[in-house]
Amino acid sequence: MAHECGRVREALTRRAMLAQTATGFGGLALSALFADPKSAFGDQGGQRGVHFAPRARNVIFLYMDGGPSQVDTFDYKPMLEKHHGRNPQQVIGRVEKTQFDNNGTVMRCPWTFRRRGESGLWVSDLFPNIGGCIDELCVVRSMTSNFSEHTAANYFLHTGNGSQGRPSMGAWVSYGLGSDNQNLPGFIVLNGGLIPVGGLDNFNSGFLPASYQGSLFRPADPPVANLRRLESTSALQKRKAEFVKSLDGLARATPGYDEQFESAIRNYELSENMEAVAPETMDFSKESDATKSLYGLDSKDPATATYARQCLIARRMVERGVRFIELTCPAIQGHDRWDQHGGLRKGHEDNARAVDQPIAALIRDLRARGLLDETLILWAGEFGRTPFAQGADGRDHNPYGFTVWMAGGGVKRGHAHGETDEWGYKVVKDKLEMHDLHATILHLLGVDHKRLTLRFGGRDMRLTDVHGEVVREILA
Amino acid sequence: MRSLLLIVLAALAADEVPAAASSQDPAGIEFFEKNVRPILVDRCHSCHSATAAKLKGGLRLDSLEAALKGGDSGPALVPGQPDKSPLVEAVSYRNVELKMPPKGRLPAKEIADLTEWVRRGAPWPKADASASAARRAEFNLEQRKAEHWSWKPLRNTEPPAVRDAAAVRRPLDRYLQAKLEQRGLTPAPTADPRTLIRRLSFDLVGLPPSTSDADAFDKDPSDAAYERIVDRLLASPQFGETWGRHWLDLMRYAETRGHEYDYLLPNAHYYRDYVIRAFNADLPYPQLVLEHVAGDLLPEPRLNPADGSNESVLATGWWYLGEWLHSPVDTRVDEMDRVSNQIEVFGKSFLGLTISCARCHDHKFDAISQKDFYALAGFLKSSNYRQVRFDTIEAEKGAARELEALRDRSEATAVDAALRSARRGLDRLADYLEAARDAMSVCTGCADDIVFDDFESGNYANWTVEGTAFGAAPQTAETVATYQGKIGATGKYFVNSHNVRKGEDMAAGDRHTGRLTSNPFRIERDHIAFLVDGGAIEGKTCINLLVDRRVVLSATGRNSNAMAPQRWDVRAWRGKEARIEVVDDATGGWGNIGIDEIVFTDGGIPSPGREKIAAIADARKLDAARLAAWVEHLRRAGADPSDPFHAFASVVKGETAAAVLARERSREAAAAHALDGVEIIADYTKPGPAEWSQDGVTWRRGNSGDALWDAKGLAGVAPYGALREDPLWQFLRSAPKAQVESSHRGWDDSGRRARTATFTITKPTLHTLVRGAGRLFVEMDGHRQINGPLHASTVAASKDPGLRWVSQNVRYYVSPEPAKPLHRAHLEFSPDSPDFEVLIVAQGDAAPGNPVDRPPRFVLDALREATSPRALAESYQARPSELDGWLLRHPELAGPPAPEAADHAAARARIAATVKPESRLAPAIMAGSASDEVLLIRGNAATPKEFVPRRFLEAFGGGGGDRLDLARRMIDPAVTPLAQRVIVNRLWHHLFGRGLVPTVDDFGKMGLPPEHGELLDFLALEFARDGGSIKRMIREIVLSAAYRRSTVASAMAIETDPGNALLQHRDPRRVTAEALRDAMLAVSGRLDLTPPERSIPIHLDGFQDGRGRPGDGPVDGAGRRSVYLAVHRNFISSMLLAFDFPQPFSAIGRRSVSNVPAQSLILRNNPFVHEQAASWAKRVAADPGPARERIDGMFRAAFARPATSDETAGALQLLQDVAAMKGLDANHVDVWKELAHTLFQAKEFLFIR
Repeated sequence: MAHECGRVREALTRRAMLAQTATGFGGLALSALFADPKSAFGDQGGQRGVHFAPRARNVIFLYMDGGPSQVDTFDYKPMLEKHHGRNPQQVIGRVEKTQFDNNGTVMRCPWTFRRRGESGLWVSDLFPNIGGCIDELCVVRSMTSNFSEHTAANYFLHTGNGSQGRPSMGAWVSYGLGSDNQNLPGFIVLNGGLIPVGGLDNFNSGFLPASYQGSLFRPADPPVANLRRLESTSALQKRKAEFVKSLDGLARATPGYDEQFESAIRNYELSENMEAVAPETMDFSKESDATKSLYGLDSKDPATATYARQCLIARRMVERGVRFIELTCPAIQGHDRWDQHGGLRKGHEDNARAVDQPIAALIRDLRARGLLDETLILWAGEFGRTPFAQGADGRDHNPYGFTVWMAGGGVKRGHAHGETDEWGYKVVKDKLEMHDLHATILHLLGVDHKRLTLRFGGRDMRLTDVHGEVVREILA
Repeated sequence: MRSLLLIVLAALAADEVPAAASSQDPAGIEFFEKNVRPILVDRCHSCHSATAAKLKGGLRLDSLEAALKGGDSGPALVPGQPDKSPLVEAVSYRNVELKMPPKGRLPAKEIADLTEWVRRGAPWPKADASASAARRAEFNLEQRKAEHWSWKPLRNTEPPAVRDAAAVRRPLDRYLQAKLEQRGLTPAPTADPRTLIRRLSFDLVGLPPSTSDADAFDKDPSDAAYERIVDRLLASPQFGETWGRHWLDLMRYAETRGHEYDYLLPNAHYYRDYVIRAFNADLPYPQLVLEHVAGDLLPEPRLNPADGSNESVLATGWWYLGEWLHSPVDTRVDEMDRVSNQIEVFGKSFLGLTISCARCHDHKFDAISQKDFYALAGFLKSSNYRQVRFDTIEAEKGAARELEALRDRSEATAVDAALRSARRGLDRLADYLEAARDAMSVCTGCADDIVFDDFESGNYANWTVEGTAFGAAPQTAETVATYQGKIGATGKYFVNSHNVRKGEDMAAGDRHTGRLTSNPFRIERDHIAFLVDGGAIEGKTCINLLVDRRVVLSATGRNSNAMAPQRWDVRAWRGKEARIEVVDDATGGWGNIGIDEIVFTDGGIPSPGREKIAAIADARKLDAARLAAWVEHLRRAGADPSDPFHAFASVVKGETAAAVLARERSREAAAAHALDGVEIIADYTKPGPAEWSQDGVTWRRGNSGDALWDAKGLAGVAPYGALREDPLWQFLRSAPKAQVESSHRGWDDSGRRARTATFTITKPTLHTLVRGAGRLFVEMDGHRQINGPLHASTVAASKDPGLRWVSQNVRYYVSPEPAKPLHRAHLEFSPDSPDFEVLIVAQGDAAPGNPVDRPPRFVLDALREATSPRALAESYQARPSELDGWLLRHPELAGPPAPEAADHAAARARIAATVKPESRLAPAIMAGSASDEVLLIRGNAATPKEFVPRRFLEAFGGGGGDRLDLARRMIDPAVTPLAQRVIVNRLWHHLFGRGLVPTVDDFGKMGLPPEHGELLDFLALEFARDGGSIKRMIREIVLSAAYRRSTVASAMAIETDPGNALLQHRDPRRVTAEALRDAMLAVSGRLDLTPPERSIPIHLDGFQDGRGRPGDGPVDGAGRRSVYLAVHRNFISSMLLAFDFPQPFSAIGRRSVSNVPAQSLILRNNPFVHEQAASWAKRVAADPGPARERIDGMFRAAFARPATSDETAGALQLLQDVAAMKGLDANHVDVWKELAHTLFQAKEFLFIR
């Protein structure tokens, strides 16, 4: 930070200097610098900020909780139809250990696959609306994970490590890039009702400072914990805040406090702003009826309506400069997340119905507003599902090959990358590991994944551990 | 997966000796240059060459020499032998673990060319070899050790001389003062008394000082007064709560296991309480470390003076405070993740070393080899988790020793006497046998079976239905959840309470509860037989037999959805009216029950009437009761081939002697070959090595001929050796409030488990020969959180009284090469019946036969020679000694017991009675069997390389022995200079906000060097000399001038030392999360200093959701200190988290200090803060004094100082304004509340100067 700060620079530590810089001259966003590790700990290694010209400014991560089936959504496999009902060991060959250890026969996709759009990419009828936007999508059919159990796979997808306690993707991104909105956190999780298996640690800041952890917002009022005043009137709250500020002002005037104290005072003011701004983000009164029904806010399906709210809020947050927004799935009465160990047809249909229209609306709306090119949408579950049945009509977890897709933010449009074998079981071409996905997302944001590090426990930690390669083939 | 492949490669090729120099013929070279080199360059070199950005797997393919030398896993190819060349295997994509290039298969032509090239002997121009001579950076432990400060011995220095002696209060000040003087700096003056007492109070006890203490110190700020305050705070129970919490940060303390369900880590709070007690008692640090690492092995554990419980063993609980998955698909990977975390916490906390960085390779920076990691991991492989009965374990050990002494002293005499008396009962054996035979022969046969209900009617006509679990009608294969698998019921319909008929998911299916109660029926047969499946939750998922409306028999499922037969002996209630009840009262996992095919049946030999027996006894001058007993016994013996009278009973049933002989001979032959084809893991039936251990004292390795005792006395003589629990111990119970494992089927058998040694799985099934009812558990790769179908087979139970093999499917865990094990396990046993015993543990394909129940030799002889039943009977009578063991088990058939046996039994009971039956439990480690860990190439569980003997770090001289030896080496400054340095630095860190080594958990090369190295060593040596007293070291530091300085920096210090490394002044600090919350409680008057019996559940804020969500707790945490709030990994108090309470995933010696809006939002709007303000206001409003004085009192309470006149004026104005806004009197409690709340929000409340 080589800004010229005049004589202030002489007398203050690096922390104070950063604070001055941020409020006075821009630079690293506010939320990023308050939590700077104390200067006495020396260089924490790594380079924050962009390393080269970014393609995307924001990320919307549509987390598909439980693991949607690739062979029932975007990875069309006619062989399953042909060999439906047969013993997978006989036709597919080696079958890996599965979580429930109750493997049935090869199972066809219960939905029809069609080529959609100009790109002619295959999409099943589970996603009629997303299929309509297929030319915006970059479909990766060769994703893999290292874990076939939800918790570890969720941590792996979110943090690049299968254990608890590591910083989430969104935490890394907001640590690296800060937020463009000084009144909202840089990493927001819009919770539709289903917290991923593994809990809030999926959104944690781990060894990064706590300010980068995902702030959980509900698509409801109040959106955030402790946001709503308990005073009877705002005048009363304001009057009290005045007194607090006068006390702080008096304390500031006594010698012996340092810049930490200053930061705490400013943080107090920031929280006041947030109390005002956060509810406004969730206020749809200025949205047109056409927009609202495009997203499906009026849907009779409560899950669809919930997810529609989340998607619309996500767009509004992008407009307000929130760096990384993750959407969890809406709770569906009487059914599970995408985790259909049984009853695939109903379960996947319920889950798809909840997200299909809102996601398509989000893509169209961002495109219409000219925001899609700078917003990267990621659609991913923690793993895929087996091409053979679990029991009679379910599918077990499959980390050996599954589909994720991206849209906007510098990825190719109407493009498919990678292949699984003819069963949709294991990747055979252009395999992506989780760290490759993370490296690519950071790359699109203008960040070299090898340079965004923080020293912890004697190592320079990164989102991609010691792995990861940018998948250049999918960059636009 | 990429690295995996190379490893497998190596495993395949490691033993191959590379062929001699390959062909240099021009055609071969041309083939290479034209077809092969381009492939290598294009496809391989980006990861496998000297020019690779990052060399993968240590393998280079840019010269033949490099390829033959290979990577981490050995040579990449064998010239001339494509089949043995990992390179060829990798590119062929045949092996799922071994695919190269990782991103996609090569074109077939390229694969063929590479194969052909290897087949031709891998021709490669010689020139390449020298050009790219392999140069891998060598790991040199000695060099690294020599080059880094922290490995060097503690250095003794004399505190330096200083010019300004007045600036020095303690010797340590000289080190700091000398440096200040060198830099021309004058230290800041001593802080004012109020600042000082507030600082001291928060630092030592985590609470603000009381108003009166602050006032008193302000009046008399003498050194003597200061010392008195220090000593009082050090002696306060709140000291341990505060400093214990610092320690808990290191031990990643939590009370649940995180992950999907956030399962309870039972009884973890006893570890927390131990830590608090240890700090309060000023347990010498070396002892603290000893207890943590090996408190279970101390020859003389430290006992709690108050209740005699074992303190030392509690410390070992920390080993298992980490995360734990409930259903990992790869248990070995999961094990290494857990062990790596254990070693990480161990290394960082005690030694300031990042040892777990060496899991996959030699440490990148420090003098720690990969072998060091596995050498330490071996100590954990040799141990296992348990819940220890820490209240009574020492008493149990004492009693066990006394029992052993008693056995040596008088058991043989007592047994001899008993046998002599028992044999008297055989005087007329032949007469009894013959009479019994006659009595039984008059019976005319069995009654027909009655099918009570097979549910094929498709309705519940016989039943009353309650609840929703059972639906309106029985289920069929179509209506049950498919994931339940094959049910195995008879016919079409059956009962299954996992009701997902409305499309519910698994959890919802389990949630249904209900009950089926049958119409009444009369018990008219000996047995009720039925099929049962579902959960094994006693009393919750069960089938009950009701007689007189009371449950007289109950059966559960076996946590399996496959129906298993169950048979009740109901003769005791013959003729009575009864009902059957099918209960599903459980809502969690395995909350279902099923039943089918309920049949009332006799079976076996029919029973003659009493009158008949009496008449025969009378006629032959026999005792009628004993004859009845014989009849009864023969009826059973007919169905039990292990009974010595089985042969006679068979004859009674009408078989010919010849037929019985043939059968018994084939049984004998089968027994002789019973174990053919299986691999014996442990044979406890014969003397010989068969290692075992236990988590208490109740089990013995018994030999054949041992006396067997039960509650009544002498129960028999063992016919063979076995692992047996002495039934005397059955009275042991867990304390009623003990928590049990959420996922472990609710077993409550702590202190009553035995286990085998650790062994490698080489066959698909484990077979354990047991007798009696008991439970078996396979701890696979240290995995114990059993939930999920994948691990279901690791849990098994034997429910019948007889001898049987229990088979457990371990097919996923087989290691093809036992010297390089992929999975290792041990078996654990716990008894359900007093006679439970474990005979043989084996592994194989099919279940073995019965190797011990051979027909007695004399019976075979008798069958061969006997011409009549009478002759057969007489042959039994002729050999009483052969029946000794059996006789003792059947006092109803033998003579009255001799008093010696009863006396001995009474003496045993007296010893046992010295042990309190109930004990609390706590997580702890136990020494299992000595097993080394296997080094994994690149840390990959799929590629074991070699066993590494257990030892301490090589840099500290290694050294074997057990965990206790390890602990002793760790704390010996002559062996390692680290333990004392690290702890002293931690104390400094907590008192100054920054350690002398700022990276408190990393003294390695990636950490920061000490800012005052000589001072650090001076303190470490002082600490060692003083026996490791933490309190005295803290005292020494807080009495220093450096500690007492003000936070006002001099202009010159800001200029020349902006980071304040020289400690010219103090840095202000934000209070910790706990201290903030505790201070609010203290100021408001709500603080309750009584330690709670268990952790207080946290108040959930409405944003905390997900699986494993605990019950909600009170907003104010019952007024208890924050250290007593429950720490559920997935549900940590959001208020504490916002103020940097650490995620408990690894050792955290230094918390981050963040400053985020969530903190201000909490201070402004959190209900807890408002509630405390209200409670404070209540006291203030009740005070009759003038408002000014009350305001002053509030400032004194919150900030340990009086209010200034400006502040008082401002506060009065606020009161007035608030009163006006609220339309209340200015003295109204609600008005004062708003003022109180503003003081909590003032930043001064958050900071310590």
